Amino acid sequence: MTNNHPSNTLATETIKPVTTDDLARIIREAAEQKRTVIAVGGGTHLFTAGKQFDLAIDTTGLTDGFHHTPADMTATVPAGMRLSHAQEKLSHNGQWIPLDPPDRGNATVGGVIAANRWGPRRHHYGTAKDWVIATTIVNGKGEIVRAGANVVKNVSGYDLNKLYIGSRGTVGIITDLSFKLSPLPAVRSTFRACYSTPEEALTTAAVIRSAPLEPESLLITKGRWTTLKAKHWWLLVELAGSEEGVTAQKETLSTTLEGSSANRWNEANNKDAAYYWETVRFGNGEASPLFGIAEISFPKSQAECLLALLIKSYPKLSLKLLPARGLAIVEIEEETDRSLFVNEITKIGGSIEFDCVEINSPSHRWPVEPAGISLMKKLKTALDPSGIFAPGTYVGGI
Amino acid sequence: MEVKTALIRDLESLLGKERVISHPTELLVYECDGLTLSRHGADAVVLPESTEEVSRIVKCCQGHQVPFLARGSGTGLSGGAVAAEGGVIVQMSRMATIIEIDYDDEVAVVQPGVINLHLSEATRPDGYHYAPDPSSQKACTIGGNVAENAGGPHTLKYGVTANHILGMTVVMPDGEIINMGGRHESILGYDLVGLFVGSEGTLGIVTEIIVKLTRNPESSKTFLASFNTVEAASNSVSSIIAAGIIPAALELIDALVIQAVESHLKAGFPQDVAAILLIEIEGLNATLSAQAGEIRNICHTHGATDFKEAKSEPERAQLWRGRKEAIGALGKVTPAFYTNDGVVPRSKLPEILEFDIETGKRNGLQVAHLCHAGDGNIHPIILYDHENETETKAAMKTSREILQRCIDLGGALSGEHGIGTEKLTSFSFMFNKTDEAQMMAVRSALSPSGKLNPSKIFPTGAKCGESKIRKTVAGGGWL
Amino acid sequence: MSETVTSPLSRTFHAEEKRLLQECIHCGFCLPACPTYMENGKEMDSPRGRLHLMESLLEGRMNLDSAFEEHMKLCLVCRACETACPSGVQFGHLMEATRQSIAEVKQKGRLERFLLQTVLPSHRWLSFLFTITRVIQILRLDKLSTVPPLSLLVPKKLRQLQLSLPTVPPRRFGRSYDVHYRAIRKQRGTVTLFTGCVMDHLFPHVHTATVRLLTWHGYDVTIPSDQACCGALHAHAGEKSMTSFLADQNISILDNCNSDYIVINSAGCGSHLKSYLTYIDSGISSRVVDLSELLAVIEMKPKAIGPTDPVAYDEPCHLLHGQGISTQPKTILEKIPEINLVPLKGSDRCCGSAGSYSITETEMSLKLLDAKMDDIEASGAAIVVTANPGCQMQLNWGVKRRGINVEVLHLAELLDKCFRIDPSYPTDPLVLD
Repeated sequence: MTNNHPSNTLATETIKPVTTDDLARIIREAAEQKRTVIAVGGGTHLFTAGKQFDLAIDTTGLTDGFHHTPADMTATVPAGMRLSHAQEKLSHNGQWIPLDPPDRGNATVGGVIAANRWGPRRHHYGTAKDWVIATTIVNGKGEIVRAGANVVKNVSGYDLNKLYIGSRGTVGIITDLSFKLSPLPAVRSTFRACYSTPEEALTTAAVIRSAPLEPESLLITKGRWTTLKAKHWWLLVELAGSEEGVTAQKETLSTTLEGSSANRWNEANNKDAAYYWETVRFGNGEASPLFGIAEISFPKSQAECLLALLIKSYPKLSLKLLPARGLAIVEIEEETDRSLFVNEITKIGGSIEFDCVEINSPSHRWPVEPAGISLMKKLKTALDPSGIFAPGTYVGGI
Repeated sequence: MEVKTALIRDLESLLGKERVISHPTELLVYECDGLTLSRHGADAVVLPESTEEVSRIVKCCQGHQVPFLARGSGTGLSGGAVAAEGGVIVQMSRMATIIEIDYDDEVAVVQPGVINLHLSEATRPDGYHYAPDPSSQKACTIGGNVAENAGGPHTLKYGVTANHILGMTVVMPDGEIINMGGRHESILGYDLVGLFVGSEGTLGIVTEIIVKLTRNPESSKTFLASFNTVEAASNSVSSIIAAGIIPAALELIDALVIQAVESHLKAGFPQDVAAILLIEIEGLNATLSAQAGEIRNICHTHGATDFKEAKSEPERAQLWRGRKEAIGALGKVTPAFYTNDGVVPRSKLPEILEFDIETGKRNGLQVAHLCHAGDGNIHPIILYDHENETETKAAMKTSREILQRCIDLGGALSGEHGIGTEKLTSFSFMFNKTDEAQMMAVRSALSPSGKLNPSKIFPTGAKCGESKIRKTVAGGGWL
Repeated sequence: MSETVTSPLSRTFHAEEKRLLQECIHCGFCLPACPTYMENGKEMDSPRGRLHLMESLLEGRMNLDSAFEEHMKLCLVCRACETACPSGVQFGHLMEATRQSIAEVKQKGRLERFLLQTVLPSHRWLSFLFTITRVIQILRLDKLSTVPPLSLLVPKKLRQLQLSLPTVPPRRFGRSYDVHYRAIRKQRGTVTLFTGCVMDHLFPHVHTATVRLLTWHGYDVTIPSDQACCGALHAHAGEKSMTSFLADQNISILDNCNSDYIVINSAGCGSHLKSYLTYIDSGISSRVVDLSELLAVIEMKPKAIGPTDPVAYDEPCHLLHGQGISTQPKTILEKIPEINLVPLKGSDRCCGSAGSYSITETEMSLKLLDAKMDDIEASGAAIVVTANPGCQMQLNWGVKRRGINVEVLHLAELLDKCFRIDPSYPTDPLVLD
């Protein structure tokens, strides 16, 4: 049905519904026939565990029903709409969905939420869990189910939105989403500072956090996500907000960086800033086919310990780390021992998701199962009783 | 005389007699929570002191096939902490220890019985606080906050309870002890923590909670804006939000409430106005004065008669005491009142406030307002005389009509109190049968016996229509 | 509401009490303020729970059974719930009314009746008993009673009482005739000092310090001879007729003195008389003040006490919750140069003394005392200041039990100490008129 869509190669049949009712009918039929279904948006963060499915749903046809109410600072966005497109429409009224996943323009809103994608600005804004206020989904029985409302505070019934965010199409297919919005900052300004050791970068990040500063992004990068072929550790700080707020913060930040052990630091001009952030999101262009990516989360206090462990075992690693959130994305050499890596992260109480080309089973992707996995399995069965949604592609083999 | 059933004997052998309450006289005090309209007798109340004890209690209840539920301070306003179908109340007041405060991880590990405010009091001197601040924070427990996904004035900027819980230990309805989440923003699998927060104690009993600690703001400013009409005040709220300003708190209080507050609490609210806005902004020094100026302009544009800043910390504290304890003060001016916590999209605030008052009038009753206006979360306070049956019915009718209107305007039934037993009959205003079935499928998956806190949230299958108590009294404590 | 005339409570719950009861909106704000609830976590032992029980009994939904009585007795009547209550429920008043009803239905034990009705109102009886106690203390028989065979003979409560009593002084403060002390410095006004019962016999030095402070700051002080116990303990025990008798008697004596102020340095007596006065029509209402209220507003220059021992102020419930007095004692303490005031966690929580509570509800009382002592130790205070004889006794007992080096002083004692550094400040004997 669609030509170049990534869904084409995943299933024997691909359908691109254009309404929620269509989708519900298709899923109902699939459930009756026990045909497995994979939902694909932009295909930017798809994990199929190497499986083939009976039916692929190309969600990019679900683009009707965009509705922005600037006075409420809320918007309803169809799941198939590109995130970039939605942001562009929202920006006309000076607002945005404060999520900045790596996205070259293809990612759909539904896909971003289903995979709970994020970017450097998670430092300040958190994740989709902090911004999604309502969802419409089609569940495993082909029923259209709504949760939440277009209000910013709501405790009516279970918060099923939370369950859908990050569920990667295993309990339902999202057809539209409502968001609480944030005002677009009037100005932004990027600083970066270079450190010889990760400890110095972390120390400076801690100083920035306790200073009267409210950065929009604060992260430490190394390797492929920095602009240079250097061993050095880079601290990237983005200030955002009103003109006077940013001006005042620039001064404080400059003083802080000047007083730190930075080898050098600078405030970037607009062009450089764009390039820095582009690099953080997509890498500096150095080929790294042999590298495996892991997303890890860990108690904040363990950042230093974690970095020390990583450098020892993987001197060539690339990394981007959000110290205030206890999150990092790490690239390690593919051929190295992954179990060592897993052990070390587990030791500090962290969790891991691998994202490597050759990984094709959930147990490789998520080597450590979460404690509540038994409950997750029960929930999956409850919402997808026929087990048609992307079976065997999720945490714990769900 | 008290006749001890097998259930009571078993509970006593688990916990000892001192921690099992089964005397009928003593059980009377557990028949309601902050919502006194909904009263249901429990068969026993138990006071566990550890997760393992909770697990044993749960298994015992399942063995006897009796319903059971957890209760914190009983400050809830939706009847969530009452034994709607009888059975055992698991009272968490003896699990009230702050187990750990870790500023490096910026978390605290607490037992569910810890009083909300006590955590902030313990951490504030070190530069941190626990952000969700329901008006009942002096009394309510964090466990109860988790069950109801409690809000509060400052959730406008900082988010509700759900945004501040990282992990928890839960005793499942079969007695299994499960840890979910952790000391960091976990990335694994379905967001169980997100699902459990706000599930009104129907999916499991929380016995340990890992909460985020929030750094105290560099500075804050508190303003009091006065208006001659409620409309002008609510229009100001809409304009502040539309201007993209996110205050820490933005509260609307109308004349009736002001009168009650000033007659008893003496918060320093002006008395000759139709409504006031209590506005607090927090953040960096560098940004506050510009924000303050913008808010002041908006208020004046909408006809504010006065706009002043709290000059000292005691003055600020007094204003907030007036706000947070306002509803209590209302006990002085009316025999009884009833309130709900409907939510509307923020631009609809002027419309719903007008509707509330008209609806009250149509039903022969006065309606006062106390709103988390910045969130669109209203608290229409319907004044009535509980000894007058016609008025009592009219009050219930008014509340239902208001909730229906909230839904018609694109809003929600509850912003912070939950559905409980209170809004069972309004549930269908917002959710159709499929929506309800989806939620109930989740409950059945995790609580197959349905014995955990039954007859709450979902009207389908609820059995608590027949309240055992004849009299209704003034309800509600804080909003 | 249907009237249930048969309710055992209806004797003391009249229209006004019923209205007051209705002011409770069941919000639960009082729960964490209540020491007994925070200790055992039971709703029946919280103010809201107790009000709920009162209401249920009033409505005839239950009987006045032993469970009801037990939960009413476990209340300290510290009135912390009144401070916490946003609706202004007068819990103390309702609890007293409830206990009156209980007292009418349930006969008290002979010993308790004897103590309340005969001993407390009589200085002769008090003198007699405390003289015996003094002899026992001198002969160290009190210690003996803790070991067999005496421990088997002496009832537990009596042993407890013996152990917690301070050393009984040789003579009480009051005399069988009126005493007048003249202002030492420029006369500011006249004061009648209310001396009470236990305070008069066990804490005469606090009264002495009070008189020195008042005369030094320009007040003539009168001590009427025939004043007696204020009746607070009787009110707590629900002894209605004795309560009124004692209060009326004292009020008429105090009124006769015609002084500018009637000063009370015992928080319990002050709170009781003030609240009694709100229900009757008397000219003295506006003149009754706690010592700290008077001292806070006059200019005073105490000397520094030397080494800056950490000082903590533990607020007596009947000062803080009963009379709303909290800033005044702190203001006074801050007037002491170089004072090292340390914060005391839970200083607004009852120490478990609560009149006769430490004897009637020993177990709970000791739990509360332990919690208080933990906080005192954590504060690092070397001196704990209070303003009520019951608290002073209880805290001293706590210090003794722990064997720690902490001095417990009445506010007047500490201030007096500071002034005594000044050579012109009077020493004993006091200037007599």
